[in-house]
Amino acid sequence: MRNKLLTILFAATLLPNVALADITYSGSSTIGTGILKEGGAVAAFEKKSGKKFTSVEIPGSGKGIQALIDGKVDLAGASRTLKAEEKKAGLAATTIGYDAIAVFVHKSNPVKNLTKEQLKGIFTGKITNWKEVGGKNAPIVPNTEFIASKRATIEMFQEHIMDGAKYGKFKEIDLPRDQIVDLTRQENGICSVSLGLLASLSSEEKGKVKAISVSGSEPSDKNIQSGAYLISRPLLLVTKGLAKGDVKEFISFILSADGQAFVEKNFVSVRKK
Amino acid sequence: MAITFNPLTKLASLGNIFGRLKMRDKMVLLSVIVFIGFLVSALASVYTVNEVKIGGHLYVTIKQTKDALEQFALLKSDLNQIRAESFGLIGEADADKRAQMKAVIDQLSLDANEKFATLVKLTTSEEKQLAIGDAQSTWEEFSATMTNELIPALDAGDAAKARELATNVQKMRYDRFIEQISTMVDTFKMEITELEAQTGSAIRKKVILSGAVSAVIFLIVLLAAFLVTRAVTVPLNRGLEFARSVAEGNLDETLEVRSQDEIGELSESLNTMVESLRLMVNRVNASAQNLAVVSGSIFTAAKTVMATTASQATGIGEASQAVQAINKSANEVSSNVDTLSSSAAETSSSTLEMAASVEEVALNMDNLLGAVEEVSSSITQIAAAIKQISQGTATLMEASNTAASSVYEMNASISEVEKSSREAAAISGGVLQDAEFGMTSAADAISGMDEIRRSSQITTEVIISLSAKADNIGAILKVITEVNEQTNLLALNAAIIAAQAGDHGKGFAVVAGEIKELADRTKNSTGEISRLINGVQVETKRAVDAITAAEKNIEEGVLLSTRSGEALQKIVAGVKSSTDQINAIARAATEQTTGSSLINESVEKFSRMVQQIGTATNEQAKVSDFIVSSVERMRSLAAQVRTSTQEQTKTSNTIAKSTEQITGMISSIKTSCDIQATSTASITKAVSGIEQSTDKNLEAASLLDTAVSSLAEQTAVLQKEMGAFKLSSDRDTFADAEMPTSSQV
Repeated sequence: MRNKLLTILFAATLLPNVALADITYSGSSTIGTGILKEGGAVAAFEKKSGKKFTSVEIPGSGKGIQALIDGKVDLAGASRTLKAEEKKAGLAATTIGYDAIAVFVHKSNPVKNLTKEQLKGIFTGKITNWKEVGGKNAPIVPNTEFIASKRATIEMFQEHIMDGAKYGKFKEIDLPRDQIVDLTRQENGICSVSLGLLASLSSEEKGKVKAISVSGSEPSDKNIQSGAYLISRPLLLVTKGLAKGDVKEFISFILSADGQAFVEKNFVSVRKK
Repeated sequence: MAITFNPLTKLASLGNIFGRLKMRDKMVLLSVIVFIGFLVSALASVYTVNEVKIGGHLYVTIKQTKDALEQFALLKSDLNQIRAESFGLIGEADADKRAQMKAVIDQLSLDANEKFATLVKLTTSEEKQLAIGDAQSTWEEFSATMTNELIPALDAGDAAKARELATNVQKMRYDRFIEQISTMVDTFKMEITELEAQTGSAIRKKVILSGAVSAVIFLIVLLAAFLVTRAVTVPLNRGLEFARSVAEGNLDETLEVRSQDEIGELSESLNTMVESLRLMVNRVNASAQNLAVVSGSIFTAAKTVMATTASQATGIGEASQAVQAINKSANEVSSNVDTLSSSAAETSSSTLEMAASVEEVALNMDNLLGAVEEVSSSITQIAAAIKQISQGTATLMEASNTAASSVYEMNASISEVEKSSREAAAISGGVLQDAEFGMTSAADAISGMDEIRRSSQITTEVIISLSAKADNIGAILKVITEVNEQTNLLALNAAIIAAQAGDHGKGFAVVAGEIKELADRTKNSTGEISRLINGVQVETKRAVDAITAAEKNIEEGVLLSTRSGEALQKIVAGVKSSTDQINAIARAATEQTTGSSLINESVEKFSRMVQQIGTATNEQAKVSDFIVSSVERMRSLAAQVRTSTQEQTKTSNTIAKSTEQITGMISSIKTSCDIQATSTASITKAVSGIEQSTDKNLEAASLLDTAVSSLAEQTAVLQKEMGAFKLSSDRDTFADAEMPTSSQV
């Protein structure tokens, strides 16, 4: 009886140490999924260093940063720049790559470029026919993420393209990847999804969609990195204060050539080619 | 048994380690410890300052980060300006101004590129360089669009396209650039904050460490200083205490020697010194004791001397009084004798009167006799006193004689030296004479030899001339022989001619025969002469050879004689110098003799004076004897006078004669009396001299007394001083020693 109690007590004292020793992540799903988990960076890091990621949560950039500020996690991921009030909390950000919100249309759609205004009109629901933007006479069928999720993609698109205006009523799909899959089946469809997700598609699916230019800038690596592509964003790893210990080791890893290879799979590397 | 190891015993053992070192080594050790402490402290300080000082690692990192921040700020402003210029360019119609603006944009672009280069230099971490490269590529895109699209569009007059570019793509790039820069700036700022915090804590840590090191060093130095000081002062104080105790006279203690340094040596020396002092004090104590005893004996002796001198003085005073009484009596005798003399004269002139007063005379004579008896007894006393004095004087004389004889012996030995040296001088004089004689003889021999040589030369000459003459004779003989041969031939021819002449020639033949005979005889004679002369010549030659040989011998003789003459001259010179030396010795001896003679004289003078005193005393004795005998004689004479006076009554005829005899006797008495008076005077004088001597004796005795007293006092003082030294009671031997005090004196 007593022994059992002691064991429990011992385990209780041991557990937080284990938790402290390893890395916990929360934040951007773009980073969490596209780089860390499915992207394979975490597995590679764990294999290389022997350190572990005890948790990788993807509630979105804002929540992740809040969790970081609250001290619940060691590392947050943000697929946007830090806000002024976030900076005040003493957060340090490291850009590990760039993502762009690509505007996908069906491959058969003749439209190659949409201006910011045209996009704003489409997603607020004011422009409803492709004809209005130089396409064929067909209704525009957008799909979106869950708008209420306040994910970085949604926020960013709203900020950069829609100038804060509300989305119109469209089909809402939980996972961004599914948005593209949905688009393959809809010739008049349009969606704005992280460009990085394209890599996760099968080649057949890839062949059915295309990313168009926005305001004359195609979503090329250079344009994405320099910001010339309107809806590009930096991918940040955020720490409370300067990174230390295991977290610092991980950031160094992700910035190294090996680490950047995982970024490059879906996103734009910060390393020059 | 538990071993307690408290810090004090540790300290003590450390102190012992110091104790084994010399003072100099202690000081050197202390200096070394202080120096090492200083060095360690200085090193600690340098170590402390090194990391945080200007140019230190942290400083450089902070500075570089701040410089990078500055560069970021400048880049931001550059881009802002470029953007403003590009907007200005779009609105500007004037070609000159546009050219100007383009130039500004170009310049700013160059500046921005330079800043990026600087930033890459300032950052060392690859991660930061990546971020900078990110921003740089954004800038390059911006710049490329500016150069390749915006400005050509403007130049082509397509302001709308240019504006579109500037407000869309370029703005987005600008925004991205600002974002990128801001992210970096935030990180850099945070780094600076952290570095500064790190620096602060490093400084605190280093200061604490340095302080701790300094404190430890200070404690070590303090401990070393304490131990060294203790190792020096403790034995020094012990030595000081010991020296003080010794100064107070305590000689029974010994200083324990613990250290092996100079103080240890000092302690050993102190111990040795005290041991010597102890021995010395013991010796002095023994001497003081002896001194006390001696001074006691001297004191007794001085007392005896004083008593003796006092009694002597009394005796002499008595003698003096007696002598004066004698004198008086003698004077009385003398006057009585005078009276007697006049009476005798009166007697002589008036025998009758005398006869009448013979009885009176007889009576007087009885009185005289009585007086004489008195005198006699007094004189006997004087004589006894004088004899006593005489004995004293004799002792004195003996002493002076001994001195005199010693001096005399010395004198005699000096004289002997003198005599010996004189004899030596005489002997060397004889040697000199002999040598000179030898020299003269050698000279004579040489001259004799010369004479001989001269004579032999003359002889040689004579012989040579004789030889020559013999040769001449030989020549003459040759002529004679030739003449003779011719004569013989002629005689032969004459005989032949005579034979030829026949009878007429008969007489001639006879003559010729005669001549031939003569010639033959001549021939024989000349042959004989020739033989003789040859013999003479041989002899002469031999004589000449002999003389030559003799001459050689003579020469040698002369040489030898000369040499012996020279040797003799050297001898003479040597003898002369030795004679001179001997003479000098003799002279010195003579001088010594004179000196010793002077001493001798002084001694003799002294002796003579003593003798004189002796003689005077003897004479006094003699005179007193004489007085005694005279008095005796006087007594007998007086008795005779009485007998005569008694006879006078019977034989008045012989009175005159007797009176004459009396007169003579009286005159002789008078003479005696005069002598006596003189003697008495001299006695008086002598006695007064003796009195003076006695007074001096007394004075000397009292001086002696004083000296003895003061000696006793000094002895007492010495003993008191020595009493100050605390020695063990078994060593304190003189404490009970008897010693006179001034009260006893």
